Amino acid sequence: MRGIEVRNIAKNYGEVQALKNVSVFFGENKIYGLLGRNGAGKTTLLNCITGRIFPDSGQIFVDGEPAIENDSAQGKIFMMGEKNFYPEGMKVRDAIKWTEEFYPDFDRDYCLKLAKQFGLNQNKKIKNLSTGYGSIFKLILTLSTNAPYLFFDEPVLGLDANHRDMFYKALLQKYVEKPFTAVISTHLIEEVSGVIEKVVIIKKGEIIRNQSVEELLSKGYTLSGSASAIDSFIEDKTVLGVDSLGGLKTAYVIGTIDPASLPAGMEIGRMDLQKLFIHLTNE
Amino acid sequence: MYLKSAVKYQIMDGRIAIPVFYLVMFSVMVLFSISVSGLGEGTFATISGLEMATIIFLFVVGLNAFRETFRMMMQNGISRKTMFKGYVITVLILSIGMSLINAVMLWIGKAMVATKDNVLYRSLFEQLYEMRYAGNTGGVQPVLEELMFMICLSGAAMMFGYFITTLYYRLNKAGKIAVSISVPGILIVGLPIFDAVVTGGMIYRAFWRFVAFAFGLLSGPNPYYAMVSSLLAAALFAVFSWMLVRRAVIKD
Amino acid sequence: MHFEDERPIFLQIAEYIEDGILMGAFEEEAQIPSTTEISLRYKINPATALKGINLLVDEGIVYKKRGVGMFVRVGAVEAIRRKRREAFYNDYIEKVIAEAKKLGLAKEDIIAMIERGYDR
Repeated sequence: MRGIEVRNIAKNYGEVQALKNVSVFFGENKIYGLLGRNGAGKTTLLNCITGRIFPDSGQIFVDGEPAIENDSAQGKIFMMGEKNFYPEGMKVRDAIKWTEEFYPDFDRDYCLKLAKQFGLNQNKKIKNLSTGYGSIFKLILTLSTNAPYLFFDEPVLGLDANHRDMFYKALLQKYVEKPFTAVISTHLIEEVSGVIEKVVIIKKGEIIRNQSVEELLSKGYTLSGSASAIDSFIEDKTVLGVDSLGGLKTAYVIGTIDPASLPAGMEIGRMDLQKLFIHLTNE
Repeated sequence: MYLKSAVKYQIMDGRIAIPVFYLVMFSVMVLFSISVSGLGEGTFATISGLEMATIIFLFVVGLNAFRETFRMMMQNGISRKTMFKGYVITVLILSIGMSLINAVMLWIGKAMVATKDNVLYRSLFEQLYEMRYAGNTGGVQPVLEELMFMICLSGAAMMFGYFITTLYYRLNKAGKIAVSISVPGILIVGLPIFDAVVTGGMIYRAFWRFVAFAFGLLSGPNPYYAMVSSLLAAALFAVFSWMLVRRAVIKD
Repeated sequence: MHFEDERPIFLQIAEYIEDGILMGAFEEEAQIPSTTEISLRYKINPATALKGINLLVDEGIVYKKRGVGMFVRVGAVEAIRRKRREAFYNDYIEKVIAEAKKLGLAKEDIIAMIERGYDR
């Protein structure tokens, strides 16, 4: 089966359980959002898949092939990490050249076109790029590899609004022309909520949601009204959280509800991904 | 396919250092030849040391061959296994390549001082094994044997450097400090004192006897002893390095 | 169009195209923007854009010309109007009444306001 399958992986750092028995499947040609708060285990999961670290237990497969220490499986993945993995003195130009060496499907013309579009100076040393251009450099490389699985770890770090816009457009353009699987790990949810099709939410090393964005959103709603009315109405419901302001109360609820059953004076609303995420991952 | 790229990357890593090294070596050689040409009758000069410099240089190359390369390979989906195989092949290529260049440099050096009777250009190999070739200095055999000797020694030096750097990479901070203090402490301070006070210089003598034996100086002299010893050392460091590289992980 | 609106994005896409048809931006038998164009313009997943367009296909508002794209069906304007008229009560009138009750406005007050606004 095509896709990346993570089966029961666990990773501990001393006392800290960074990943607890995580299983997840990233299917072919879909855009995933890997969402979690800082330290939830997003990067640890991606690092395990790309073999940068070893899980303590569990298995990982890429298109059915074991992924760990396997060149042909890893050759299908390119990950732009938050950290710079390029040698101290390497220039942008050389990094492009070497990526082309390791990823034979690399599209040089496309890469140079994007570099021009974003104003990336190829003669600069990678370590001398600003945070924003460091991200841009890695984004451009990632999109140019033509690898079937692309991981973006905090892709828009340090990017200004224009560049973020350009990135999402470039990503979608490439995706429409030649589909691939993208896993976008981020805590900036509002921006990616439209771009991603599937969402994987990770909390304290555990995957708590793994479904399509639409499905997830259809299961969450907000109820607002007077505090006493809300309190009695939500008694038997799965409540993620409540906000109150004086006698007014808003409850964030999971489940489905028939609007006709709503008592008078109570309003129902939809939750957006950001709100849902905040309430799902709250302590 | 992946291996070829891994080798290419690791060889290209030395694309600046190696030419610079030879530029320096060549300049030193020329300067020396010029400066000794003014020496008067009765004073003798010997030029040597290119080989030792090469061995040290390759050791340093080995020392610098891991961390950045490892990160680059991980970024580009190359496994530790392929990276390590690539390094072993790089060791072979650099050892053979630089030994060949050294042979040519030696030949040039000798040619430059050929007209001067009071200046001698001698390699490390010639100094160690000259007895073996008494009366037989013109043939192919010494050249070939010297080449093989240099290749083996270079390989051992590169693997040794790699072993040290991978060991340090894998150690945590406390481990690094412990090794950095205890190894030189024991070898430079502890052992000589122990040897002087307790064993009366036995260890010191045994050590040099062992070195002489390993280099075949006690048997002829025979450079093949040195070649086998170097190869054994290289293999040993390769095995240790692989054990360390196999489970290495990215640290931030 | 901003997706600050809390309804699903694909519904908003469908509505945006319907609005275009009603306003004459996309005339009957004219081509509507492709999934790709919509996806890039609004930075949304192409699957979402497709879902929005498919909704219009199901309702008979647009149709597919194989290998060319999506086109507005003849009679689409009427169809959209009919559909929206039916929804008008739920979407607008109910809300107006609910708000009016909160404010203590009488039925006559609302009607008076409507008359004032409608004839302007």
